[in-house]
Amino acid sequence: MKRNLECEIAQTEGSLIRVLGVIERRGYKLQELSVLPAGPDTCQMSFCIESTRDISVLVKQLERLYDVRDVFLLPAESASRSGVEPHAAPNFQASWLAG
Amino acid sequence: MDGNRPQTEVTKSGARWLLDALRDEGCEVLFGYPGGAIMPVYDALVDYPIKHILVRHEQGAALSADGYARVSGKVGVCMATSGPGATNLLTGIANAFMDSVPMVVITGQVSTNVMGTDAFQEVDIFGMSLPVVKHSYIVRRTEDVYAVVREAFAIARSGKPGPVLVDLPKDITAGHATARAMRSELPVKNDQSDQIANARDLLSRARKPLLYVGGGVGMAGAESELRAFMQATRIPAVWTLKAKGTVDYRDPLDLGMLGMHGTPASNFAVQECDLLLVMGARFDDRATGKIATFAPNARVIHCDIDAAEIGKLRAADVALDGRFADYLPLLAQDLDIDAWRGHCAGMKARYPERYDAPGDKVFAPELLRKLSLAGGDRTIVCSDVGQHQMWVAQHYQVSRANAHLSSGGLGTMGYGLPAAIGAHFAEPDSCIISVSGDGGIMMNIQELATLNRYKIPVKVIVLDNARLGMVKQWQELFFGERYSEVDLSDNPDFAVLARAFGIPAITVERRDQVDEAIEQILKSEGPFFCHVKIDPQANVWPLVPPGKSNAEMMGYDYETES
Repeated sequence: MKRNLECEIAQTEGSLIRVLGVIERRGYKLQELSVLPAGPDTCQMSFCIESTRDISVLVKQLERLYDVRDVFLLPAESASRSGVEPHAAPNFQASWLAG
Repeated sequence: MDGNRPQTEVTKSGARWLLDALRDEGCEVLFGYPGGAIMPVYDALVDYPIKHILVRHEQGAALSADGYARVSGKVGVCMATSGPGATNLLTGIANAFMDSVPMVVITGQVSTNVMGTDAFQEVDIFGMSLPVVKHSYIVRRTEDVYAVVREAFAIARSGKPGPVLVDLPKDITAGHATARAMRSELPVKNDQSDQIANARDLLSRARKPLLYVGGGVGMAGAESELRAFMQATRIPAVWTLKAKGTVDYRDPLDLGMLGMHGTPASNFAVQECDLLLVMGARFDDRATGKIATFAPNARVIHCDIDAAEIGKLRAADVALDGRFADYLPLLAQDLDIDAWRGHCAGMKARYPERYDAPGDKVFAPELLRKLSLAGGDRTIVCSDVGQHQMWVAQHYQVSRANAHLSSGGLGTMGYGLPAAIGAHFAEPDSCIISVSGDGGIMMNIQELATLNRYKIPVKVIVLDNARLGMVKQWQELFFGERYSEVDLSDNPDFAVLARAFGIPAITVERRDQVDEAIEQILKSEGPFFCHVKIDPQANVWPLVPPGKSNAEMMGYDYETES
C-alpha cells in the first residue's frame, strides 16, 4: 500500500540520512522523495512510501527522532506519484550537510 | 558553579568543556581507552576528579558503561579514540540501543580539516552508528562542546533511554573558546495520552487478566509501584528476560519467565488469558514465539514510555505511554479473579523446577540455584549469551529489578564480564557474580586484566561444556545432529589463564565439589575465578522451537492444560 508523508526536520548534520535510514530499516520502501528548504533552520521532506506494514508505526518511529519537528500522514486517496509532484524538481540544498 | 550553566565568559579548551559537562552531569566514572585523536581529552583528564577505568578493549568500555547504567540508573559514559577505537565501541552501542540503556559515547575524531580525506584512523563513526543510537552529534565548533554534551545526557536518559554518540574532532577538543549557552528547553520527547478510564474498564471486565512485565518497569524505577499494583489486584504475572527480579519471585503470583525458554505455567497462562496488561515490554520474538498465535484470546493494554512501541507488533486495545509510577496506582482495583488465579497457581505447582539430574557431573541449573541462595539479596548477577544465560534466567533468583544483567536484545557474547565491572562501580558494596560459558568468556577475556588492575571483586564463573552449547543444542534438535564448528575442546586451561592475569582460580569437575566451591567464591575478598566443567550433553529446557507458538513447548503438552 502506498502512502504520502511529509516531514519537517531540523537542518542538522545527518538529519536527512537519519530519516531515510529509519524508513528503509523499518521495512518501508521509499518510492519518491523531495526535499525543500522550509525555514531558516528547517526543511521539508516529502515521501511516497510503499509497505505492507502499518504506516502509523513508521510515523511514530519518525516522530521520536530528535531532528524531526513534525510528521504529516496525507490522506490515503492522495497516495500516488502525483502526491509529491508539487516538489517534482528536487531542490535539496546539501550545503548544511557539510557544516 | 551552577551545574546547569557553563561559565560562558571563560575561555577553555574543548576537552575541558567536555569534562566540565561530564562533571556537571554528576559523572563519577567513565570507561575508556586512549589514542591519537582523543589525546587532548586524556591530557585534560589528569586535572579532573572523574574516575577513569582503563579497559583493555574498547568493547569492554562500552559494555561496562552499559552495566554501570543498568545498575545505577544513571547515564553510563564510555570514551575511545577515532577509527578502530570507535568501531570497537559499536557492538556495545548496539547492545545499549537494543536494551534501551542510557549511555553517552564520546569518540575522538580526526581534525575537521582532514575529515573526509581518509586520514589516519578516520572512520565515519557518526554514519556507522546511525542505526543503533538514539541520537548523535559531530561537534564542529569548540563553543558547542559543553551544550552538546549536556544535551546528549538529557536525551540519553529521557523517555525510552538509549545511547547518544558525541564525535569530537581533535581540533575541536584542542581548540579554545567560550561556551555557548545551552538551549533553554532540551528537546525531550515524551508523548502522553489519557486512557486510564478505558484501561480500568477493560481490567474490571476481565476474567483472566495477566501481567506481561518487561525491562521498562525496572529501568523506570517503578518496581515498587508494580509490586503494589500486584498486591492490590492480585493479577498473576509473567516476565521477560530483561525484567527478571522486577516481580518478586517469592510472590505466588509470579509465574516465571515467558517465551522460548520460559516456564510452562507462564507460556500457557499467556495462551489462556483474556486480558494482557503489557508493562514496558515490546513483544520481542523470543518472548512471543509465533506472534500470530500469542495470547490469541486476549485484549491488550500496552503501557510503554515509547509511543513507537505501541502497535509495532501487536495492536493494543488501550495504550498508555506515560510514566508507570503515575498511572499504576490509578489502575489498581479489586478484581474477582479467584478461579483464574487458582488455575495459574495449579499450573505453576504442576511444573516445578527439577534438580535431580542423574550422574556425578555438575548440573549447571543446580549450581546456579545453590549459588543464588547462598549469595543473598545483595548479589547482582551478569551473564553472557547462550545456554548458561538461560539457566541463569531460569534458576538464579534475584530479588530486585536491575540485579540481573543480560544482553537481551542484541545477544552479545562477551557481555557478562565487562557488564559486571560496570555493575561494581555502580554498587561497590554488592557482590557481583559474572556467569559465562566457555565461548563467551573468550570474547572479552582481556577484561580479567581490568579486574586485576583495580582489584574489582567480581566473581567470575565459567560454565564449561567445551562447546558452543546453544548452537550445538539447535544443531542437535533442528539440524539433524549435523554439528558444525561448535567444538571448543581445545580451550585453554581457564584456571591457569586466570592466574596468569593475577586472579585466584579454582576448577570444579564433580557435583560433590560444588558446595565447597560456592563457599570459596563467596568468601573470597577480591576478584575470583571459578572454572566449572559441566555435563556437555545438558540442554536448556523447556524450549519452544523457533517460529512456533508458545503453546508448542517441547516436552510439555498444552492440550492437557486447556
